[in-house]
Amino acid sequence: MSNVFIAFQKNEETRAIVDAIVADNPQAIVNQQPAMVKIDAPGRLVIRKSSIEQEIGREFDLQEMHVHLITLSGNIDETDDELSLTWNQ
Amino acid sequence: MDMKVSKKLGLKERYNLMTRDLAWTPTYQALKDVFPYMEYEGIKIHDWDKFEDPFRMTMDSYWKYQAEKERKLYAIIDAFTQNNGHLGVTDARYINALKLFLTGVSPLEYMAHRGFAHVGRQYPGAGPRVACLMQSLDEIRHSQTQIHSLSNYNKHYNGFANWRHQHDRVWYLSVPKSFFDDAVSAGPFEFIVAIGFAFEYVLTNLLFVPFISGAAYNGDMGAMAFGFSAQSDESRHMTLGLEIIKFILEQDPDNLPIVQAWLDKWFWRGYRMEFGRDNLDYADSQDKKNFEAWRAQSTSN
Repeated sequence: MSNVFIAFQKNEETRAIVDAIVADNPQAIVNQQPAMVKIDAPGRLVIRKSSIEQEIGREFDLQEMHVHLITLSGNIDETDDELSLTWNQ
Repeated sequence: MDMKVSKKLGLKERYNLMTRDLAWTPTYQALKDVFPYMEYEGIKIHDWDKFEDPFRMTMDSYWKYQAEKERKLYAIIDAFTQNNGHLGVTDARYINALKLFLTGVSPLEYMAHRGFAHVGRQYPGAGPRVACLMQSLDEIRHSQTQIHSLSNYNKHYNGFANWRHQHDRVWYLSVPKSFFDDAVSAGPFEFIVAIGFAFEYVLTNLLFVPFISGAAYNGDMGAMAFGFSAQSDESRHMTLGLEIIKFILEQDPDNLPIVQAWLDKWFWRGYRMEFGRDNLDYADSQDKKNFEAWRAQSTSN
């Protein structure tokens, strides 16, 4: 199964985002690189608004992620509550 | 008494209202006169509404987040230039990588701005039109922020002054130059396969992401800041590239051989653009071993 991935700038906001992703996706592998952090997962990765809010301690609009995004791979589906990356067959 | 507040629209509804709902079908002129480039490449599209931006980005949130990115970027550029940041980069040779970027890549950003403005006008579908409009605005922003960030080096070092002039004249820059010249002079569907997929989706991960992470590693906050600011847009561009190919292929089986031929052509032309990557391996590889070896060598010389 091909990996999907997403990478963020390394900063205070994304620390909470990455923690939330790791909590929701046990199969995710976090790869620390200079100034950025990349998360790989086989087939599917889900990012939940509620989990990020729990980590970051405030309301969070998923579209705020755009400010920190570096790259990604996979077919995206975004709603108000979650963003998922999958490889659609 | 509590004020009655109507329920906030969901992302999907908001996207539909702010994109498709604002479009209309022209009646004063024939559709093929309004969109004259839609047929000659042989691509058949039956229902443009089947395309949906998966990020569901609307123009109002686009401006909100772009403004935030610009504020962050210029705060970092100011800090970098005010603190003589150019003196702190790892090695003088790293600066050559920036010259290559400014002469090879920044002019392409401007070409992408022009290209997406053009195809955005040509597609009859509201979804791709809005996505292309945003990408066109992104690309001129990238070109401008790269020129701004690197202008500080131009105050102190040579080789930065005539980057646009050099783009048309230095032999190895003929590769990126011809890539874009040929893409913008192709039809709108071939352009988006060439740039949206072969350039954005393939080269982003191989060239731009390591370049920017390398800039951070080398202490170059200027290039790191414009790079990160641009990369956040690239994620949207890559998604457009991937989804538009899927959309074209799902519209008609006759589209497959045409798109396949374009992919074969533009993938390998993109591979040749890896000239930049060769330079990266030398100057600021993310591979720590190479980097350390390079640094040891450069300090012993």
